[in-house]
Amino acid sequence: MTITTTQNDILIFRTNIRNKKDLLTITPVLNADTRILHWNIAQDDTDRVLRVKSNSSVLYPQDIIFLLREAGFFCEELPD
Amino acid sequence: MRTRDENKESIVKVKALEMLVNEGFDGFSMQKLAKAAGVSPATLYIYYKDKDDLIVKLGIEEGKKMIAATFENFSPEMPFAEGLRVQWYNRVRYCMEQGISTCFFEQAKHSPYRDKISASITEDFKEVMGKFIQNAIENKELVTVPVEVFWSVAFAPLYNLIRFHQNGKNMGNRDFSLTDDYIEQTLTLVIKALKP
Repeated sequence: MTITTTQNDILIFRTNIRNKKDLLTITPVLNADTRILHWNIAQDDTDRVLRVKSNSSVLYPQDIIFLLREAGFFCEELPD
Repeated sequence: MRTRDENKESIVKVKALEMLVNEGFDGFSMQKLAKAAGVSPATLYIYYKDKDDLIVKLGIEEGKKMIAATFENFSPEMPFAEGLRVQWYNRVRYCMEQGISTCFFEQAKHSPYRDKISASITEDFKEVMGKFIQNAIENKELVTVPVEVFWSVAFAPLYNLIRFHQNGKNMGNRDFSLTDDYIEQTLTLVIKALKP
C-alpha cells in the first residue's frame, strides 16, 4: 500500500552558496525569517542544495528565492 | 507541491544500503542515489537533510532492527545459558538474512558516523543486556569480568564463525559452512568458560 502525504513545509533549492564566507553572509538572512523553522545547505551536493523547513504553508518558494537573490546568490527551486 | 511517498521511500532505503555497501561512504552522493532509485534529488531532500543525515538515519533504523532481531524470544530473566543460546541463534539468523544491513552496520561502526548512530540505539540494548548479565552474576551462572572481556568471550567466537561462513573459507582456506553443530560446540565451550 502506498501512503502519499503532502509535504508543504519543506522547500528545496539549487544555490551557489559555496564556502564559509557565503554561509556567513546568508546565515543571518535566513535566521531572521521567523517562518523558517530549520534550514541547511547540503555542502556535499554539487547543487549546493538549500533545504528549508517552515512552520506553515505561508512561506513560498519565491520568498526564499527573493531573499537569496537580494543577498547576491543564485537560487532556484529544485524540480521534482 | 512536495509529496512524500512511502513506497518510494523504501526503494530509496534499499538502494542507499546497496550503494553504501558496494561503493563506500565517500563515493556515495545524493545525486547517484537519486539516479539509482529512480527519483529526483529533490525527492531525497524531502526525506533527508543531506547525505550525512541519510547515513545516520539509516544507521539508526538498521541498528534498531538488529537489536529487535537479537532480542526476539529473549528475556533478561532467562537462565544464562538459555538466554545466550537464544541470542546466538538470533544473531546468526540476522547476519544470514540481512547480509547487506550487517555489512552496512560494520562500515558505519568504523566511520565518523559511529557516535551519532550509537547514541540513539545503545540505551535500550545496554539496559536489557545489563539486566541479563546482572541476573546471571547473582545466580552464580556468570563470572564477574569487565564487560569487554565478557563480550569478547560471549559473542566474538560466534562472529568469527559467521565470518568464516561468509567467506566460505576457514583460517586455513578450507571450505567452511556454518552448521548448528559448530554453533553448539562453540557455545558449550563459551558457557563453560564464563562459569564462575
